[in-house]
Amino acid sequence: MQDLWIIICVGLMGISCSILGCFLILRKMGMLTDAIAHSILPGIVIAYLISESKNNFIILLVATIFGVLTAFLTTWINRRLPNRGDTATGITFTFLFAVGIILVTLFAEQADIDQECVLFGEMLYIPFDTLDFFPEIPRAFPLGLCVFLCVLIFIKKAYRPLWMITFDENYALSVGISVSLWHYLLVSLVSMVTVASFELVGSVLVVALFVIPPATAYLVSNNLKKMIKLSTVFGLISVILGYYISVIFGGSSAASIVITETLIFLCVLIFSKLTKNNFNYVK
Amino acid sequence: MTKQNVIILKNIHVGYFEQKIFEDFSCEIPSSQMVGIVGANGSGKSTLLKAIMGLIPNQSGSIEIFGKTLQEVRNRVAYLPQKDSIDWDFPASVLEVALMGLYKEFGLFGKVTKQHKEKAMLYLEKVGMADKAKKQISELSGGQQQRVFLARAFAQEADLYLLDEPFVGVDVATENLLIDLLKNLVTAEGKTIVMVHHQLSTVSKYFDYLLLLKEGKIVKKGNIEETFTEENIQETYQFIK
Amino acid sequence: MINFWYVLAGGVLLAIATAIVGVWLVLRKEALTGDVVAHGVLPGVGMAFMLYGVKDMMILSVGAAISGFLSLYAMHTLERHTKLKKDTIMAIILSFFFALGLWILVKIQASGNSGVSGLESFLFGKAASILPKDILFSLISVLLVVFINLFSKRWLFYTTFDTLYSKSVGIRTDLANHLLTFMCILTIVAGLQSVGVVLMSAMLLTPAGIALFLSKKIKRQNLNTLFILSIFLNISVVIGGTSLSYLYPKTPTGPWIVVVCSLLALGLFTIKNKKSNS
Repeated sequence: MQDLWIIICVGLMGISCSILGCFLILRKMGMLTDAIAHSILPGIVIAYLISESKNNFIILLVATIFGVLTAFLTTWINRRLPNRGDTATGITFTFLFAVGIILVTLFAEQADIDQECVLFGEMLYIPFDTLDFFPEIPRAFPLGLCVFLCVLIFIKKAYRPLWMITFDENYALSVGISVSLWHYLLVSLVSMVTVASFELVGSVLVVALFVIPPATAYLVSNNLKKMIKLSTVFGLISVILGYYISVIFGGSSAASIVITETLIFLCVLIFSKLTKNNFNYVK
Repeated sequence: MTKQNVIILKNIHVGYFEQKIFEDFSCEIPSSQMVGIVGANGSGKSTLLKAIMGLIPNQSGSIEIFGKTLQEVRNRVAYLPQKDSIDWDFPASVLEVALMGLYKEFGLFGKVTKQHKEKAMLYLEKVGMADKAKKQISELSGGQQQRVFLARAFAQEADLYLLDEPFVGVDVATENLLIDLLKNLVTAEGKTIVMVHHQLSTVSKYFDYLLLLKEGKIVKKGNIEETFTEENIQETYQFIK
Repeated sequence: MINFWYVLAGGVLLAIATAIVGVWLVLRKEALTGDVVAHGVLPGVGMAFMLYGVKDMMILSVGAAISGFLSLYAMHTLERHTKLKKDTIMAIILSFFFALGLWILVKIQASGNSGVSGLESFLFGKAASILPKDILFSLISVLLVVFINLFSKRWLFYTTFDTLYSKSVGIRTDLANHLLTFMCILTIVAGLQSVGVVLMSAMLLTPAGIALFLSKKIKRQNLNTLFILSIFLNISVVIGGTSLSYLYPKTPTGPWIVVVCSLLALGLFTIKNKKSNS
């Protein structure tokens, strides 16, 4: 039963990430995900400090605000450093993350977080060596379900505008779609999913959940709908396989899931290379 | 006039990823001419120049320049990349860019002397940019940027110039100045210029020899009078049958 | 107080190296490569510890350098062989290497090796634990980076500014990339102990970003100005951050340096913007 709960909860997160990830990697926002995953840290600490208990709603809200702040700051700095979007992203997230680390170390007693757990996940009372028991599972379930439903509804309702701003931003603008509105909506949803998965897998590994399954699907699909479906499948398989691998071989399950995702990615990559007509791979 | 071929391509295969651009492609380019390469987007114009310069490895076949391999005659060839491949925000001055053309004289680690700078200034003067030598390249207009880059190409003092769309974003006055300089190189010094060009209205005025490309194949090649006909152009720009 | 001077000396040395490498990374639009390497060193640190069982800086650094290099190599291989976008590839490599490192660390922890407790200082840096021999290591790295930079400035300039042209005149662009990779890894490994892997990219990027911005404002856009500005900013920030972290002894030094630097960046960006608007 323990195992089942873990798989259901992490699986829900994995699927949510996989779906959103498709739009993220197509919009070249892969590293923005990394940035958001780092910069929501001060938000989480602040939410802990003001709510004292683990109030999911407050954490989600504050962290989402910080996610949007990240995207906003990045854009703002980018306007001052033309053509250097990556530098802007780097400056923003290291700043917010550093603030977060200082807050964590200053208020470690009150907030009950410590700096290692921020990176490794299971930050809520669960030291990472007893990972395999997840005493918090039932609590994470409604959160996961809620986030998953949000993502599902958002994608169903907003599929067309999202597709348009992903495929051709200028055209979308010309027909009156607010690119920045949808961009920030996407960013806030990403922040929500990140913060919800954060405690399960940690700030760096959540990036893998967002990026690797869609990237795998991208290799073998030629339209967005198919890519989303495949990405979901890859995400779910990796979660299940990765978790059982960690049960058998030990080690961190979050890390096992990411390693499994990467292995699947490599298999699909090799498969797609073998089946396609190889010519001359030069960029 | 006996025409020598400067560039001889034999059965080359070139492509990006799964996309093949040239398959079993062969062609010759005659010397001491203004040679134009014309074709629709994706026909392989720029790729052809890159393949000649060894910027994209060819899978098989051979490329000969002046009857030798590229490695042996590199100093006699000047290449001007497409404008959008360059980072215009880079902190470099006009003089520094022109100096790049003298690379073969000072190499990577040699000292840049006063003579080098004077020489670079000479070429900047030729394109009318000497007064802007201290300027930052991002402060220049599109036409001025292209003048500087041609000055760099001239500074290479090559026998063969491969120019990839040198007139994109260039005003008419600059274009006329530059084309005169280029034509002078051909007629007075017997140099060969191969240029990717997209402005059909000026083709007959600029070139002596034309190469019409479509989807990695030659539609027609030959002297401008024979090749630049309405029929051929239609065929070159026609979409897939 | 002697310790404070050690920390400061180590920090200033590191500031010089990161400022130089950072300028190149920003100019090459490879700003986040530093972040990838910084995360990529983690499996190497874990493996080196697993194999030797001691927390010796030298051994761990070698491990870190090897796996940092592997992460970059993997990144470039994927770039060449797939049509995935660069940022996607970076995110994949970064999270995979970090996961691998984490997996190894957890394994070590489960094995109950007592020496493991200090390993987390690699993540956020513990400048307070710097010893004279670490400073010697930093000094060597910095001298190497400065020397390489002086020696091959033209090389990096040409290949960064116009890769196709450089190739066309026969300049080895791939070697230039390796050179920068080497400088990058050297700097990051040298900074592991004082700043830690996670915030390393801030020391690389933020001063270089400010320098690029300022050089445009003062109309002195050339490489030397960028280097001087970036080094100067980075040193002042390190001094400021280190002093601040001594006021709050519980907190690690790295984040303070980053916060000071970022606030400076944000401040400068606003002031200059208002001026240009008026």
